[in-house]
Amino acid sequence: MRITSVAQARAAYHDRNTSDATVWTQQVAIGPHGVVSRYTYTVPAGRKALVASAYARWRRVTVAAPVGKITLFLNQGVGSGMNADIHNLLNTVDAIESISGPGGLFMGPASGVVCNTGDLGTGGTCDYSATHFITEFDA
Amino acid sequence: MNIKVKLVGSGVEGDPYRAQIPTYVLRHANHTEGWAIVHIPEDVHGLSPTDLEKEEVQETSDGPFYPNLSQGAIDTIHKHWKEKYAGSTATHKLEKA
Repeated sequence: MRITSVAQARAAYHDRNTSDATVWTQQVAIGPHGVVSRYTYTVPAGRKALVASAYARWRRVTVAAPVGKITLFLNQGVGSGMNADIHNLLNTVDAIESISGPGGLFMGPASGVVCNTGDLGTGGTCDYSATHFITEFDA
Repeated sequence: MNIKVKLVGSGVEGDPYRAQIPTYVLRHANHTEGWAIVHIPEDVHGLSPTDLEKEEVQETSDGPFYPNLSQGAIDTIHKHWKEKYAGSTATHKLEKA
């Protein structure tokens, strides 16, 4: 019988001084606004981070006149990573759009995430919520 | 820590209004006047409880707000960022507004 084991010289990532670095935003009945960064997270030197999952939800509360482009933008691995975007012109009360970002992304130092929102309409209000669930650990 | 900082950007895709802070959550932004109140996690700003005791603080619904951080505290934050985010090419700058 041959016995083998996986060579492992160090602890797994989840046992390397982990900390929760989750960032989130929740905005209720927000009117038109230029594109703004609701949150950012940057991986520190000597650390790495796992984006376990990301989620964004948008809902129209009151109609715009006229409607303009709605943006709810999640970026992971800023500059070269994966995006999850909501871009629409929906103008019906209680219109809802949600999206789950790709999870399981490992990010190295200086990489990170960002969440932007924008509403180029005139009048009308919307709800926005977004979360990046992030675990940070020693590189 | 919640503080009021200068906003940069023009409010369009690719150049959003933002604070030049490595990790933050926006509490409120005034695009007309170019400022924002942001929350910076403790491990990100790097100021110790002793450092913070010296600063003016106001209690708010979102936790402690520091309306007038001293230049010494800002210098400490910048020094902390230089080490903590070594290797980052992004501009990290805390400017009071």
